[in-house]
Amino acid sequence: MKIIVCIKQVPETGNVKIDPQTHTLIRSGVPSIINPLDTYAIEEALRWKEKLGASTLVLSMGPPQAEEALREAVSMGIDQALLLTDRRFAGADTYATAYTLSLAIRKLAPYDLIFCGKQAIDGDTAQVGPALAEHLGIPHIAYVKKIEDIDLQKATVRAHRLMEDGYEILDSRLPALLTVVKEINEPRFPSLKGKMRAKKLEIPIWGADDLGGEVANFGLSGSPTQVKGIFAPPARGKGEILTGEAPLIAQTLIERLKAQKII
Amino acid sequence: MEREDLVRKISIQEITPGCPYLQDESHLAPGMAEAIYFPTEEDEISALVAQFQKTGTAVTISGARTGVVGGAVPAGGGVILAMERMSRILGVKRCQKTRAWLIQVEPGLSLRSFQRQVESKNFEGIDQEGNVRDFMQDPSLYFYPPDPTEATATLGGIVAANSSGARSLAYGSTRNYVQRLRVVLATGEILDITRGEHQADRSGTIPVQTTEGSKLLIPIPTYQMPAVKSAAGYYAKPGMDLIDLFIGAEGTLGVITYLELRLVPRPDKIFSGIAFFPDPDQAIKFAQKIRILRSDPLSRIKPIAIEYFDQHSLSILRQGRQQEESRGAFFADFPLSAQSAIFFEQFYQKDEELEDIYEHWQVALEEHGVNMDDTWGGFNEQELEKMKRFRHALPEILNEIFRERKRRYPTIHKVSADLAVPEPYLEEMISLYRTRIEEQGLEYVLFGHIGECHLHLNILPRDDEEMLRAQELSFEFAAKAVSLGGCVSAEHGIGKLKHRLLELLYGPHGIEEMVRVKLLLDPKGILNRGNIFPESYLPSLR
Repeated sequence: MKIIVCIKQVPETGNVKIDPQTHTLIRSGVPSIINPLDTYAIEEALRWKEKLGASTLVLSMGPPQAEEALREAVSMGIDQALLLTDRRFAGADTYATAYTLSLAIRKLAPYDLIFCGKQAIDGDTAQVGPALAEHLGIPHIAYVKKIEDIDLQKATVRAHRLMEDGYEILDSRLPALLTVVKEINEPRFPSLKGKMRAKKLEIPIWGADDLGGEVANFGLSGSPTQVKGIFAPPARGKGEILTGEAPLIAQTLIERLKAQKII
Repeated sequence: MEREDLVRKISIQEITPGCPYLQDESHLAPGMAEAIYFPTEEDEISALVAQFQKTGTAVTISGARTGVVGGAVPAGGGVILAMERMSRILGVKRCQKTRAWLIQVEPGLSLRSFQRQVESKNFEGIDQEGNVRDFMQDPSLYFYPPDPTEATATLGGIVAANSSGARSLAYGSTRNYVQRLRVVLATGEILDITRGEHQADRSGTIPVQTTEGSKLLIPIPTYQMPAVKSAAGYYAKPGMDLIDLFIGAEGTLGVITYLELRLVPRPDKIFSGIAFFPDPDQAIKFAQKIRILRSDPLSRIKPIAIEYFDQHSLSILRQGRQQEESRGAFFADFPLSAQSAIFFEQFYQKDEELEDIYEHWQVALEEHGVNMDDTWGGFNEQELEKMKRFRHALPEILNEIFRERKRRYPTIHKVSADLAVPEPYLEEMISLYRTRIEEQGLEYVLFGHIGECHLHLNILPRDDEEMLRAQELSFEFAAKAVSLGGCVSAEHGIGKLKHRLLELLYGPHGIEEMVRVKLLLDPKGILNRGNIFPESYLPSLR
């Protein structure tokens, strides 16, 4: 069995600040981590590898420093890593990202399963996983909270998909793509041995030319959606407590509401 | 207006029973106080203390109240001197002899804030001139090594307690990093003590003069301190330095108002991990081996900390983890087969060394039955922090358990022993703990600084009767540690809770020698009354 895990490197959100002039994220000095939801995808791949035997590969598209995130996945126990990095990939929206990933995965075929985290904590779209499956022309199950069984003989997977009011049990043929939610497992701590292996592992880097495909479909030019602006929601002002006699308070309140054109 | 009248003060009417200044992290009941003072300058403290000396009013010095032996609890009333408003870094100096960087600081600053400011070389609120600028421009990294678990503790409190922590295995306790102190004595006079300037003479006396000109001849005690980690009673050694008398004196000899703390260069690479052993004894045997390899020049195993967890600690951690899971797990799951564990931490300088270091550790770990796939690893601060969460979670879970048990038995608490023994006796001591406690059917955990043969034993009574038996056992263990040349309190100090243990260690004569020093410097015994020795000792020698 071959399992591919797609991950994204994101800034640690606890520390993210927005530049008041440019309205973009200030990335410098903010530590980068594996998108937390992707660590569940990594863990799930490792569990099935331990159960059924599998080769595992972690894949990411991002800037050169995304290699750190790949190494961290390897330190948890993933066998191989592959980084897609090229200036022409920059500015990709979910569509272009999924397209780029799909070209790489086509080159990596055959494979049985692709695991993704439900969504990234920076963009929060939850679209890349399903879009990737569409580009590849394979079935997907999103929001998986449990994989009941993988039957390699019959080439099927049975998974529990988390819904707002319960869960669905779905069967799919393999190969399939599954996006996982945090209820599915608990990611392990990287092992010392894994960390040593991760330090030394050669990580191949593929650029646009390695993937083939239409260059115009990569990055910003391949993105149907574009970010027009980013802004922090305005901080809520301090509340005001009116004190004094009740009739006076009522009068003040009416005046204030009128002034604000609320009444 | 007198100087002391300018000090911010909370008076008795405002001190409610739940007031945080009346208690600390010990299980001692809250004390009482007539007033709490918040001085900002040394001369305010001097004026206040001199006034209380006249009236014979007890003065309890208060830092962050993180101690576990009641040192900051004003058990006998009087007033509290809260040091929290004296929390500035004042400047930077170079040691004339060693060229080491010395940081000049007030006693109320927290260890955490001090460490952060030092490590980032970013001092709040001082001019970046002269030595400060030179320090900031020095390309090397520095740090202040003592790392007691409670990083909210104040520097004054840490020095008064001579605190240590996991890294004292390689770096020693707080004492090693204190270069100069200014101390207000009970008379209001001030001692300015720089290390190396005042040593005990052959007759065992340290002559010294206060800044006001009074001459003092301080008789140092003659007892022999145990040759292990110790935070029990006054430091006393032939030829000792005066500054060492005040470090670890638990505030009984004076109020520390100014400190100069020494920094050391910090190697910037970390190799750390937690190894899980399938057998309860293998972690102990492994630690023993590491203690030998540490001093072997051929070995690359040079840890700065080795911490042990017994099987009971692991099962409490597992239990706490399950309860915590609904709120999001606070540390990763560990192998079910684990029967003991060791946390280790090592610094190194160059990337090329890592492979070699790893192989040495791997061989040693595998020899003791550890599966390297299950061994956690951390190579940077964030990962180290995650592992420390595992270590710090244990006392937190225990506190949670006791909050529950106290509902039924309000007076019970965990009974802790903080004993260190010389290396050859560690296994004997551990086996005594296990046999005696298990004979009695009591619950316990054993964890801590195994690299220094200093383990924390917590007996966990479930009712009042078990509580009494736990206390008897803990006294029995302390007596045994003394008979093996060990110490009754390696880290926590004596405070108001371990007087009996100190008597075990030094006998009444040893305590009388300490009291002689105390009464010379504080004739009415006003400072931190009740710490180290019971009040009953004070009038008997006056």
